[in-house]
Amino acid sequence: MSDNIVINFNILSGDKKYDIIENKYIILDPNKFSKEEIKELLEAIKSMRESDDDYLVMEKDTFATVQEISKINEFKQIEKLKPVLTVEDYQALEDSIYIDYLSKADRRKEIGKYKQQIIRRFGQGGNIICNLYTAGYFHSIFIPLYEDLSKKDGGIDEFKSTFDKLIRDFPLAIFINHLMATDEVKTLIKNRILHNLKYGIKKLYVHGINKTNCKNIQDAIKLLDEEHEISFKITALEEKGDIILVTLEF
Amino acid sequence: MGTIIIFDKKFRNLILDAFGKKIKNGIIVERDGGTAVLTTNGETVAAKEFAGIKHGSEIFIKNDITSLIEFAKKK
Repeated sequence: MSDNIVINFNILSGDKKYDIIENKYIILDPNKFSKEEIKELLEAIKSMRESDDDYLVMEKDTFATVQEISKINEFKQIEKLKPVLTVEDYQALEDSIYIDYLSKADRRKEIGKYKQQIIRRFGQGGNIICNLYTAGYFHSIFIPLYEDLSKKDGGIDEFKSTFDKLIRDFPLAIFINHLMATDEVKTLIKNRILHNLKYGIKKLYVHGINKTNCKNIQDAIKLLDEEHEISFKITALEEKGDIILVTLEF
Repeated sequence: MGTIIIFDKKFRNLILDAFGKKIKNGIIVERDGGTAVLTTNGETVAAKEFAGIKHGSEIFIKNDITSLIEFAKKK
């Protein structure tokens, strides 16, 4: 067997046993081969297997998926996080990129099986990472946070600790990014409190990074308090450098 | 990449047979001896998880998304 040849074992219509496309792509339909011909085919594969030549044998739908994965650029964008995440979190993140790709390509029917694979292999943490990635939090929160903290002494450890906390708190947390004005932050917090109350959850963690967000969050909470529409209290406020975490209970 | 062989799911057993493998209790094993084949991570390969084989002492590839991304990055 020669180099750079693609041989596709597939079903052919009509009487053809094989079809050659552009001299390098051969489709073989073993259903139409005699027993002797099948034996010769298997011997040829055996020789390939025993030679030093490089080869890949792959189920065709899977091969198509691998070709797709190879073209997704987003894998490179998250590479900077590889040294600071656990192996499992990073793998879950990579899997999430493919799910996001399917979502954007409107191939939602295919997402279910891959989501199940993430949950089976990585548990709820993997599921949360997937939800966060597809909601855009990695590009709007985590990567900017990492880029900010990685320039500071002790910043990497702080990033790891913040990341773990964000993943753990996710169902009860909201994240404020730099594109939000104070009024928007106030509305987001208010709506989230009402949502949580509806499900019997009496706590909300408000996370923000960078000085503007820290100020917006504090101003928004003050405005919300002055409206007297919702009764709540601040039970914890951690402000460390450019990161803020406010715990509200209601 | 040298020769690439793609196969319709229907011909899976033919391909495995060509590589001296068979399916026993749902797992891919050596036809001689019955030892289960392993991925580079040391995992057995269920027949339904079988994606393919790569040259290099026969590297078995599973079809879950984590394995495929790992393979795509290395190829």
